[in-house]
Amino acid sequence: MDTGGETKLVARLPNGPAAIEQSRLAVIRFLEPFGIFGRTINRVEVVLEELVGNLVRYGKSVNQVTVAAGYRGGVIDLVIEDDGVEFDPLAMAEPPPFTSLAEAPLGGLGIPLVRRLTSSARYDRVGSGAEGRNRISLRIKNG
Amino acid sequence: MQFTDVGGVTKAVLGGRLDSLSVGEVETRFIANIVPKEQPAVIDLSQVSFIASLGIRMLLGTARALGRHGSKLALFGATGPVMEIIETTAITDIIPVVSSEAEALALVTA
Repeated sequence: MDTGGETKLVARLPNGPAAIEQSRLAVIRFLEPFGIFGRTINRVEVVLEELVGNLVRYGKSVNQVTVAAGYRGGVIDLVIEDDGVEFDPLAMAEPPPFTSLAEAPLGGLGIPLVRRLTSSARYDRVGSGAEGRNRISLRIKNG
Repeated sequence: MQFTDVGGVTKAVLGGRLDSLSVGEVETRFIANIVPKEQPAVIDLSQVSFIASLGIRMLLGTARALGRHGSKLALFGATGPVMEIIETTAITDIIPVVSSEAEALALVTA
């Protein structure tokens, strides 16, 4: 899987609650030697938590989740793929700004977080038929 | 997770990771120890090492439920990475987030 940078990690995980923690630990372990800032690591963890967590909670048709990571020139590339039915989570409209506590929506906070914590986030449907996969490509700058 | 009463204000101390797994485990107890008291609350986040959207939603839902009773909720003590996520979600527009317990207590009892 092409992460854009030099791919060093590809973790293929069965869809299930354990995939959230397994993907987090795999990516953190992979990034450890690069001296990434703590706040950047935190952003990576939040992005994985949101996107892999969404697949685990809502991806009924997803059997396998693949997380790939690369690091080059101060930029972390993440790719999250699943084999579920076509679905673009990034297509969700940006929610309106909070105006009052009483009217604040309780859901839909995760994808806006992903958009704001990454320098780019893109969805592609790749492959076709039974080989079709949802791919989210993300870039997070170390800083 | 600890709860105490500080002069008519519920003080809750959260710790560890507020990820989807832990929120699922603590949310019911967290809300049950704060909302039914119908009094202001302050939440100590100084021992929270990680928060994502489900943790934010738990705090937001609790603040909203308290608000229906006319009581305020404030957060305090968030560390750098946790504070960045709180600020990124912009809930600081509708829930006070301050540094110290004293500030939080003053805000919810004002």
